Amino acid sequence: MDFLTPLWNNIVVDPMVNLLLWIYTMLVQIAVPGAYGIAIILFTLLVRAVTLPFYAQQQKAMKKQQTLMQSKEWQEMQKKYAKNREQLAQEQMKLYKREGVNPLGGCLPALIPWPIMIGLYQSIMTVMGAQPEQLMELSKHIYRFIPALAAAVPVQSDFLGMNLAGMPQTYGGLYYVVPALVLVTTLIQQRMMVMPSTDPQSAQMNQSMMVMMPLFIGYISLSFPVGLSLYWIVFNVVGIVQQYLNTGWGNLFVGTPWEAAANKGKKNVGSK
Amino acid sequence: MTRVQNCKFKVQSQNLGLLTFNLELDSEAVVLKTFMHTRSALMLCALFAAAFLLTACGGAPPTGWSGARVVDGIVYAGNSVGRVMALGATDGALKWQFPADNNVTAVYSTPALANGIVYFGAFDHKFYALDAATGAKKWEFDATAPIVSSPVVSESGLVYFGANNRRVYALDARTGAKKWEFETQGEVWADPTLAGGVLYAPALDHKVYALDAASGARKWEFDAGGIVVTKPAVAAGLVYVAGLSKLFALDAQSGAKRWEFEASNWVWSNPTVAGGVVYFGALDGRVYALDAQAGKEKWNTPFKANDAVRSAIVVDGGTGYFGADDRKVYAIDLATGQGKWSRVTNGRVLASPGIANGVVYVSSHDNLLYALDAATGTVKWSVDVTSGKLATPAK
Repeated sequence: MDFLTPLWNNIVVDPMVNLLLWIYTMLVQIAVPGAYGIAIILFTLLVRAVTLPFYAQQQKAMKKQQTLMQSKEWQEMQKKYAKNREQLAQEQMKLYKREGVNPLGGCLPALIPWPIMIGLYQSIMTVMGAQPEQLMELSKHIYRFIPALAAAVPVQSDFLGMNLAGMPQTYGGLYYVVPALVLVTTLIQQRMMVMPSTDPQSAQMNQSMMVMMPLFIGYISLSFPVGLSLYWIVFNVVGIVQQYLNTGWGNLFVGTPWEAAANKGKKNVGSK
Repeated sequence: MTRVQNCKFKVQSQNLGLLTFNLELDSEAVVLKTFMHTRSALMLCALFAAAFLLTACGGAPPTGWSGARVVDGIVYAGNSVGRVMALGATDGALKWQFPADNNVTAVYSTPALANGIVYFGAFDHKFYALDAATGAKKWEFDATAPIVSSPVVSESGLVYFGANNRRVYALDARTGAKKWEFETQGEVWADPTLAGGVLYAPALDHKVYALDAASGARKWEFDAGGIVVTKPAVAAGLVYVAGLSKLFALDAQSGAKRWEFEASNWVWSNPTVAGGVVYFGALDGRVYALDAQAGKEKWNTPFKANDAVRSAIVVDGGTGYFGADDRKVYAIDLATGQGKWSRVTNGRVLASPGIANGVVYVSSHDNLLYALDAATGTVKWSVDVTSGKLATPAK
């Protein structure tokens, strides 16, 4: 399995590291303040654009399934086989087949961008070089035929009054805003993504996951360099915009005082 | 043929309510049907897993690469669990460790000793002075940023080091009171070198600064064109320092460049000057020997380790000792550049070795500190740094 790491580095991490550094050097040349922060934002947008077709496919499949799950036939099936979950599962599978909906259809396209995202994450960490080991590791990834890239190291990690390599739990103060934004954007995206479930058990599960997941991400971002959280925030914001354009606000306002207002808006989105 | 009908094995995660797996078995076929109640729940699980994965693949804590210092039969070294230990040089017996029941995040700094006090900087932002006999803390100084650089102590009673807050500090070695500080434009990871009343301090801002050791006033600076993380070596009026993949020889008085040599990769290995030759390693595993005056290669081909050489090449009686990222400790013949022996460990060897009385002391990221016979590479003893106990008893 020793060949996997070099393969992964050559195909995924190295190109990303060099592209990220190249964007950074371009921004430095035109004297953009907070160049590494801006480079992370641009790079995340670029990678998001590359993976856009996969997400679009996923959202399309989810929308199709959502429509099916809201159909009268589905609801009746739920009631009819309420006490026989096995039979219910079989009937639902039949319905999926008949309507040409693959229940896993949205999962595969969603999983394909993950290696890219992990590569993006590794690139940001490596280029930032917050720890000596990481900066040392960078030498293995930089293309030596572009001397300007090595000369740009270390990246200047000041951004909006923060050190992008700094961690909120160490630096405190303003740095706590970052995990809070990570939490909020993750929460919004989760609420928009989760489909309503007629099964009370699943609905309860969804509800708890919608809270737990953002809390978990927000918590771990306390001990992440804020540069990484910046990537996470941009990643989420793009996801929110994309989700809104595809399915509207989804379940974002369900169970909130703004539900009624959102339902009016939903009609407008639907009529677009 | 045995026929099993309607034999159903059902796994249902009742508590989670996430997935229902129906495994139907009969004699003709095995059909696995996976039904998902809510795909969104699966998506959330995937996100959870991804978040764990992200945490695992980039957020590794710093481990440090403190070298070993051997003084009066005691080995002082920081270790990969964020402590500094004092061990008996002959038997590896633990004298003390600091902190005794905690850690200082990571120790990159090789301890310095003077007048019975051990000095080192830590990644927890603090610079410590400990009683060399007991390990008791005498004083600490808060640098407000992690410390990677190793200290150097002057005869006049000042201790110098750099920190990640872009500053070089001079403290009173006895009390820890700040005497002066010098601000650079980059983090200061390299160990400063003191020679002839001048402190040579490189920084990640690509510069090497020559400072008056008494006042901190700048005498000259040199732009190396890339990060400088190596401790300058000073010999015969020249300062040897690496910037990215180049090794420079500078005039110690003026900072003027005498010569430069381009290595095959970045140089993170502190250059060592011995017998008119400069030895250093590169991050692609090559080890070079250059004529100190002219900068010409002495060996036909550089020695090649299998991975990065960050450790300094420590010279003792015609042999160079160093560790590499390929988990090995090497001994090479300095006259020819040929290998003498290598000792495999179970972790990266990024720390520089210490040598005394024919024994090489070196830490590996396998959490062991080794005492190796300098002639053969045989393990004389090793200590598990997590417990302070001998992993290989002294022979």
